[in-house]
Amino acid sequence: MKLDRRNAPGFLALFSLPLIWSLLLLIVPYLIMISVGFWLRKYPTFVPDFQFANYAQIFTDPQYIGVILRTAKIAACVTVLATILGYPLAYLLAFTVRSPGLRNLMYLMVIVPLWVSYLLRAYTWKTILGTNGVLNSFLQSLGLIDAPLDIFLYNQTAMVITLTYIFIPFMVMPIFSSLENIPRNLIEASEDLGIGPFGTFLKVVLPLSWGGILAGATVTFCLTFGDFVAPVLVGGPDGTMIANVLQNQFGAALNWPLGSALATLVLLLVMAILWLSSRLDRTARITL
Amino acid sequence: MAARPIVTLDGVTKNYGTFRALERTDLTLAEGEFVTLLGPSGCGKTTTLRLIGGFEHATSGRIQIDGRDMTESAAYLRPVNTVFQDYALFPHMTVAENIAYGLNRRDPTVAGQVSDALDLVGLGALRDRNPHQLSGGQKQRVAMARAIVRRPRVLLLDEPLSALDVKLREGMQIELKRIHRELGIAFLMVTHDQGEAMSMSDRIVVMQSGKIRQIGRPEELYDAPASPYVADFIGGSNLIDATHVTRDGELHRIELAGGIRLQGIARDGRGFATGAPLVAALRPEALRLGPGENTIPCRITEVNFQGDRIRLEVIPTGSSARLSVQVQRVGLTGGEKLTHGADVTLSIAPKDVMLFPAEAS
Amino acid sequence: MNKLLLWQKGLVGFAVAVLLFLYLPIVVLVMFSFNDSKVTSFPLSGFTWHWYQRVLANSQMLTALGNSLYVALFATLISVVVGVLAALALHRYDFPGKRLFQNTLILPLSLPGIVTGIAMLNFYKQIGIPQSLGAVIIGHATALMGIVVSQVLARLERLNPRLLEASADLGVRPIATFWMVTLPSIRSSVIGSALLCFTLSFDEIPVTYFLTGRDVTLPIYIYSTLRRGITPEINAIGTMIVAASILIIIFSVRLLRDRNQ
Repeated sequence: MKLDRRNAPGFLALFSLPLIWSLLLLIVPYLIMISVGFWLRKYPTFVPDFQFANYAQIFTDPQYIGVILRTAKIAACVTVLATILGYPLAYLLAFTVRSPGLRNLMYLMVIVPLWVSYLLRAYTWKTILGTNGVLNSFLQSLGLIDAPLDIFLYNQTAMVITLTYIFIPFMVMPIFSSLENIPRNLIEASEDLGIGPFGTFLKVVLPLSWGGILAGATVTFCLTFGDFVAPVLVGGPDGTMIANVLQNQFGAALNWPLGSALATLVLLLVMAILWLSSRLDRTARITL
Repeated sequence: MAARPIVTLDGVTKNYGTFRALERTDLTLAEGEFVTLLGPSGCGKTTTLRLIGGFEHATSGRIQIDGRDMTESAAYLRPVNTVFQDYALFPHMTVAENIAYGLNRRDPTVAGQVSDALDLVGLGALRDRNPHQLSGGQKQRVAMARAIVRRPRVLLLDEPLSALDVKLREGMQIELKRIHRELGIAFLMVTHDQGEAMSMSDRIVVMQSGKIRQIGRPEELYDAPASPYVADFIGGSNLIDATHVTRDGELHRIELAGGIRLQGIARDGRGFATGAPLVAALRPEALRLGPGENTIPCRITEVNFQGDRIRLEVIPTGSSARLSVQVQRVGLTGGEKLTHGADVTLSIAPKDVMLFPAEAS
Repeated sequence: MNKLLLWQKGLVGFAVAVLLFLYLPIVVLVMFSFNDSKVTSFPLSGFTWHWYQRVLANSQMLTALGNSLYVALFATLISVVVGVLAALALHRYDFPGKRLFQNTLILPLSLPGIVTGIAMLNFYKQIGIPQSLGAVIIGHATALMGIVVSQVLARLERLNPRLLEASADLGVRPIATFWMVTLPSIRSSVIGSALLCFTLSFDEIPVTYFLTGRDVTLPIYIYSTLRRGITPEINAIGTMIVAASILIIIFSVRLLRDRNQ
């Protein structure tokens, strides 16, 4: 209902706590972070200022640009891979599995890993891919290789595998719900009009599940972009991501202003992607 | 009816798990015919349509379409098209794209075919709209155009008018008949509305619990129903328990509860044993005010004014049966006392008392 | 038909492979928690409870576990109370900036945790709050509140508004209506989002990493030991967490199913 003088007391009763909380503990911290990005570093502390040296450093030092590009590349790979692996699973759940019981069970099986510690799942890939790890020893016991290979762990591929693994459920869930919302008689109508299963998939199912793909891809890309656990656990010397650089600015490098400027960039980038995604979704949204 | 068959169902059964949706059904649809599958929900009419469309596959039996066995064929291989109940228009395509959907994109005549189909259903101006911008009646027409543009041998219509409001429905009935006449292809329509079935069909297939109960022209079903079920479902009837007394040529004498005696006829001139339990079907519009050959003294329990006619609910004297009676107001003299609790005398011609053996219901 | 079946078989095979892929690490984790060897590699060398005994004897790890439970419990409580209030306000009233407010609340869900962690670290530093478990609780509650808001709001939007009008029509005051009509119908979404908040808070690293002081939570403890090297003890505590998570999921599914009937 519209807010007016009569219902204002009820509104304030409900709204004041969330408003104060989010202003003080969400918006103010972001604003402080943004402003610290303009401060000056005077080792070992920092002084308030308003200057762009931190941003200048980020955009002129090829090291930072390189890390940002690499992070974007890895996030993009993970997003594409997770979509390719997640879509068929979502499709199977929505269309091929006929029994509601089996479908619920399988959907639950997709979600369960989300509830199991993210750190532990990422860590387990380290034990699987390591030199003395599960994969190497397994291949050795099969006699496929003589000596352990060190090509699996500590590189970008290991990071992409680990992160793809983590984000598959994030793709499956929205794609499944968009597929489930497609009225079944549209698929029957397509077949009725002489279009085979594959044509029906391309012309009807895929366009109508675009919203789900977009939602899953947006979350996957944004969260992968800021991940700092996978690089530490399975990434190698060439696997540093933006989050590790950030971590370092607040740890060993002790340069909070530069770190805050970088974090502000990540914030802006994520907000831009969210904005773009909602724009794309709105223009492509189909009224069923 | 002498035209060659275009769809033939031969002993078709469809089970869903342990539920038998359709039982050993035979049906033939002739070229150019308008046939309606009529029955309450769950009677198997939609299952029959979906089996012909190829969305379901028969558990046993054969289905021939246009002379070829298509029992196992996928929907996209069959020369039939369907107008779906809630239209199933592709929401991400315009009207024109929807209609062109099933046509070969590379065919240069597609644009012309789409325009012709749009003209046939009278929607030429809306070709670039999206489905969500259309009214129910317009969606209905697009669904028709999309199905007929492929020139199917049979058009299947699944409750095509049920989502429309009453006024629109009557207009679309006429429209559908016109399109049927212009195209000259067979239409097979599913409906639960007997009025719709009667006004549109060449033949009606009355179904109940997965079986065909009777097939016939609308007037055949109305005048000579094969069972009390059909008598009630087509046109509506008062079904009253009775016992057989004597036979006098064509006419049978029966007795209702309360000792009221009536004369009636049996379908196919069949005989009954004396004292056999019967069901008599009396159409509300066949009952008249005033004495006659078959007189029934009654008391009025309900009076419903319906404009050109009055509907009375009455109880025959000494009986607990309830009868509905329809009285045309044109025929009233004004002297009749039609109020709650008043006594009236009704009569009905013996040919309008339709008798069935009790177990048939 | 045969071609179609082949096509479907391929799809089923692929999708089942993906599903197995999702469980590969979890199976490895559980399997090696019972393996009698210091290195996690094949061939398996025998069954042991040893690593579980080591967990139970590891006071640092148990303290970290206790800290995690403490943080998750209070963070969840705050998220639920403030989040439900916010969802109710967003559902009931139109006010200027409503969409902006809603988007701000759910922003931390799509934002990498490290950014939220850094923002909060800067904030605490400026107002002089020391890094501590209390700081972590506030950080988690703020970051996870969006889950409660979005889930409860989604449920409220499916609630038939006539129900509230019917309650008012029957002479029931708004607060009583909340307890008798609104709360029962959003109950499952509140419980569901609370369980999710609890799990995510229990498992959280980036925000915790920046906000915690000397007291560490379990993920931070594991994270710092992992950097030194792998020990099968982690497999053991991991298996225990997996078992607890699965119990929570079964519990919540049961609960939601009962509500739906």
